[in-house]
Formats: sequence, structure tokens, C-alpha cells
Amino acid sequence: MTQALTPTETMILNMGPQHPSTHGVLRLQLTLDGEVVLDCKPVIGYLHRGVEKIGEARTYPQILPYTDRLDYLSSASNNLAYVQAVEKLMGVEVPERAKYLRVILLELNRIASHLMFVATFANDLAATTVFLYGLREREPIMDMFEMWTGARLTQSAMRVGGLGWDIPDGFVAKAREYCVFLPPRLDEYDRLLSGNRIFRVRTEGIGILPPEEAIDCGCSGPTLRGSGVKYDLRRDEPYEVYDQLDYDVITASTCDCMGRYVVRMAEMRQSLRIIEQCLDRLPEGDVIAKVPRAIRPQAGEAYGRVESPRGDFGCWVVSDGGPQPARVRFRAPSFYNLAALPRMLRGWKIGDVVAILGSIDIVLGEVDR
Amino acid sequence: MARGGSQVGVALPPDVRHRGSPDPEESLTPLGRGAEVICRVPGGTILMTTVDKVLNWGRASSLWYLTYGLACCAIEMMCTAASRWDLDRFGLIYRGTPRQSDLMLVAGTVSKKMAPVLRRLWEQMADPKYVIAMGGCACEGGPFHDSYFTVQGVDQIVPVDIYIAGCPPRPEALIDGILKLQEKINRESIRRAPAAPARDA
Amino acid sequence: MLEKLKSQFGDAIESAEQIGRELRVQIAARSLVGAARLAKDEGFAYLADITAMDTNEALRVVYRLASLSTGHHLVASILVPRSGARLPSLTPVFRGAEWPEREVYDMFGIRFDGHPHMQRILLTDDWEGYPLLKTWQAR
Repeated sequence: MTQALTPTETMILNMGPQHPSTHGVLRLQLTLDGEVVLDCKPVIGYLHRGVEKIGEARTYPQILPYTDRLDYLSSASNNLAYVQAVEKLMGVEVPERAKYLRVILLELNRIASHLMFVATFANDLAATTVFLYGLREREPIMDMFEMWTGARLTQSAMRVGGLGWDIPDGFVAKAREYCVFLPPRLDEYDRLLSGNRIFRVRTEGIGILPPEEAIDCGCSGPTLRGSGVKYDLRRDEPYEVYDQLDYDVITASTCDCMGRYVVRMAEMRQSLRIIEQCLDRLPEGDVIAKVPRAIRPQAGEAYGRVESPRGDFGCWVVSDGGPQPARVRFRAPSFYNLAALPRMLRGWKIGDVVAILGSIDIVLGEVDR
Repeated sequence: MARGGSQVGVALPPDVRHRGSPDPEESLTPLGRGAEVICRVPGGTILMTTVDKVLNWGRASSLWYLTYGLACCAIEMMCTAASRWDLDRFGLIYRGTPRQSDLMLVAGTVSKKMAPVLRRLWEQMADPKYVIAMGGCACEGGPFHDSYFTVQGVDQIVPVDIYIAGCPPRPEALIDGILKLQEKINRESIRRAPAAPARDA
Repeated sequence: MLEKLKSQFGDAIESAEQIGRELRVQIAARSLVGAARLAKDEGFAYLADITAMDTNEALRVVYRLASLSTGHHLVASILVPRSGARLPSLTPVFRGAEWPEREVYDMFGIRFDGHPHMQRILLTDDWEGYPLLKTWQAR
């Protein structure tokens, strides 16, 4: 006996801005037909703090702590993009030791950020154990940051010309210990997650982002590499000492959530390789170049570009010769990655929304600035 | 309203004993912090205490919090709730909905776009509710004190019980703030219950 | 790359210089979309950024395109008046132009013709004024 189809309407469901799985204050207006997402309109700006306007009212060194708070999960990459731009304007040459230490700091930030990604991604998919494990593994890195810079999260470690502080005694030993400590834990996550049937069903084939669309949208980082595009600023536009180090650029050809997850898991292992090489080759010397006390770059403009854990983080600094910049602009990778989200959500179910949003790993601090 | 603190008797099963106490008459399980025994009924395991003490003990020991994790402080809040510092041992469990929360942990900068949302969620929480302003931005604006789009302190929108300074505050600082809030709760009394806050038109 | 741009849009290029890996050009608004299409065909397929700044005399809108294969950047600037400015939208050429153009409108007041959703993105919908203008005063 057949039943006449009940006429239905589409529904608009509001997700956020306060929501445990939106990774910050993001609001998604989902247009639903039953459980299927027809369209998604992200509403951002709930964390807009006016950093670019504040930047015009601060001196160059004063802007540095604000950069930490943009992508707060990996402060060093924001610091570096800004500091690179100012160094280009001033023509400052950074000492070798500082370059290696900067790379160590960047890669430790990358691991910490990816661990947080794994922890929250798994937590969103209800694998709460991995949330606790991931944050537990992240704590030794926080200890190392605290040992070195005094702060766990927003380190503000970089300065124009190098770094604020040299590494303390015991840091190298701790870092080497961590390089041995982490890989078995990552294997444990692989056993818990990557082979888990539920995890695989929820991430494989979900949230497809074809490579041409990803490039057209300006996506970068693991979101782009998870779609098979082998573009990594550390390799394609090297900075610091990345051109002298040996590491692989990981891509995944599946273009789905699992691909982006796999890329980040593998990148953590590559980061450990990079850290070990830097520790082996660390030269003696200064950690900061001779820079004038008052930072007044000559008039002009420069662009610093860094491969942050989220992608291509850029900082455009325009100077008019004074102590304060005329313009500071931060190009946030999450802004562009998030713009691709509606495309990735269409046709999937509500339960997939959380998985897809988690897999692009956004940080609202840099989206909203 | 009871005058003089009404008394309540609590009967406990006979096998419940206070650890380490040799005297069977003395061996009574205390009701946790803040619930002093006022009167002991001899021979049994009944103790008398005040309504205030039991209510406060219940509220302070099981503060379910609505994380209002907005920015960087949210990460430190998550670290505090996770493996190393574990907020669960203080009775704090994360709830995603204001309907089931007692405590709003505002962690991060409140922007003018977010402010009405914050006020609405605070109003959706049932009394008694408490607010902790975590971090410089929630206390008085923090590094963004002169921004055109931030609220200079969340106490401009909701009443705050505890302010925790820091940018971001260490997990230990957050735990210290929560313990201070528990002490504050233990000083409350139903006789001096605060009037319900005026609802804005 | 500069030669190709010059051959097609020679009269619209107001200035050009090569600094390191960056080719900085200043072009006229009328040839923006055409130049963007040409650049994309020549390999500058990655839209790195669209932003603007207030130079006190005018507003300068800056488009930054990158080549994924060579690592070179093409930085195109367009000068527009400080109020009432309108520019053609790049959304037909680059899908990723949608959000940064909304941000430029939000912060500077420059409207982009042909944009699918020309509305504010970061500030509240009822916000008055454009904060990143140098003349904007906080109340």
C-alpha cells in the first residue's frame, strides 16, 4: 500500500555562535530539507576585535603581542609573518642560530596545533578519549614554551631581527625527549582512530573539496593538501632554513575529511623530523641581530608569508617612515578555508556538518581579526 | 524565610564511617567542606546542620559550567578541563547548553556582535547562576581596550562574581578562581538571597 | 608576465616594478577583470588576498595573486576615491574573491558591482561607518 508523500518545507537551523563544535564563535545558518543540508551561510565577525585598526595606533614592537592572538593555536607563525615583513622593510639579516631556533619554535607550534586539531576533531565525533590524550600530549610542548618564553600559549617569542630569548639549559634535552615520546602516541591514535570503523564511516568520502575549487577559493595548508595539491610554502617559497632541511610534503588524494586528517597526522611526524635536524645543526651565535632601539622602517611595503598549521598566513605592512605603520593587514588562511565551507557542506547531512567543519580546522581569532 | 537558620537532620546508613577516626561516636562522614555538624544525635549516624550549609555545599561542589570560550582563553580553559588539570574533580562538567549550567565561564574577548548573544544565554540560565570573567579581555577589555568593536569587560553586560586576570591565565589561575567562587558560594545564605536582577526592557 | 599584461592592457597600466619575486603594478579599474583573467590563464591561479588601505588622498585596493608553480606574486593596485567608490567584482574569475571583497566593503565602503552578496561580513549589519578609513572616529 503506497502512502502519499507528505509535503515538506525547508527549515533554517541556526548553529552557533555559542556551540561546542564550532571551534569558536562561528554561526552557521543551515538550510535543511529534513536532515540534508541544502545550503549553509556562515556568519562571522563575532570575534572581530579591530586588530588592523589597533595596529595603526601602536608602534611596531607593540603590534607583536596582537599577532599572537590571531591564530592563537600557533602564535609563532603569526609572529613570524609580521616580523618577516618588518625585517624586509628594514633590510635586517637574521643570525643563523635565530633561524634554526625559529624553525624549532614553528614546528613545535605546528605539532601543538595539530594535536589540538586531532583532540577536538575526535571529540566532535564523540571519541572523547582522544580529546584527553591529545591534550595530554600537548602539555610537554606547553612546558617547553614556558621554559623558553615564559608563556604557554601566546608566546610573543619573535622580535624584529631574531628572537626575544635564547633557549635555556635543558631545553635541547627536553625537545629530544619529546621527539622520542610522541611517535608511539601517534601510533596509538592511529590504532584508536584511523582504523576505527565508526570514525572511517564518518570521515571517508565526506565533505569532498575538488582541487580546482580549493585553489580557486584560495584554500591553503592541509585543507588544500588534503585535496591532492602539493603546495607548501616551506617548500615553494622557503623562508628561514627550510630549504636546507629534509622533510616530506604530505598530500592526500581523497579530498575528504579523512584526507585532511591524514595529512595533519603525517605532518606531525614530519615536524618531529625537522625539529631533530635543527637540534643537530643548531649553531652557536646571537639570537637577535643588531636592530635600532626604535623600530622605524623606511617608507615602503613588504609582505611576510608563513606556512602556519592552517595554511598560508600573510602579513602586509605598509610603512610611512614613522614609528607606527600606515597599514597592517593579516591574510588569514582560515578566512579563505572557511569561505569554501558552503561548497563542502551541500548535500551532506547534519551529522556530517560537524565532521566537515572540524576537518578544515579553523580558528576564529584569525578569521575575524 | 526561616529565621536563625533552620536545622535539618540527615540520616546516613550505619556503615558510613569517617576515615581515620578511632571513636565510633565521632565517626561520622562530614558533608564535605562547609557543612559543619551542629548537633549529633547520640548513638546513630544522624547529624544536624543548616539548610544554608547543605545548599551551598550542593551548589559549590557541582558547578556545571557553560563554556563561553570565545578566544585564546578558551584554549587554556580546555587545557584546564583536560588531562593534566582536570576540572571534573572539582565537580565542574562542561555543558553545551545554558539550561543545564550553573556557571558561565566567559573566556575571551566579547565583541559588540557577540554581546547580545551572551546576554541572552545568561538569561537562559536558571538561578542560582554565577559568572566568572576569565582573562584580561573579559575583565576589562584586555589588550583590546581601545578597540571600536569590543566590550570593555563582560561586567558591562552581565554581573560577574569572579575576575581572573591573565592573558591567558594559567590553568592554575583558573582553578584558583573557581575555588574562590566555591568559597563565595559557601558564604551565601537563603535569608539574604539576592533579588532577581532587573530584566531589561 | 609584465610584457603580456602590457601587450593587452598597455594603456591601463599606470606603473610597474619588479621587487624580488613580486611584480607590482598599478592599473586602472576598467581593466581589472580582464587583467585578472589573463593572470589566471598565465598561471597566477591562486588568489592570495584582496585588501585595501587609506593613503589619505585616496583608497588603494590591492589584489595579490600567486603562482603555485613559480612562487611569484602579482600585486595589482587600483586607486579609487575615498567615498562612493565602485569597482567590478572579481567573483566571476576567482570564487575566493567573495569574502575578501565583502570585507573591503565592510571596512572601507568600496562597493563591488556584480558581487552575489554585497553586505557586511565582520561588523554588525546595522553598523554605521567604515572603520579602517583614516577619518573614521570612534564615538
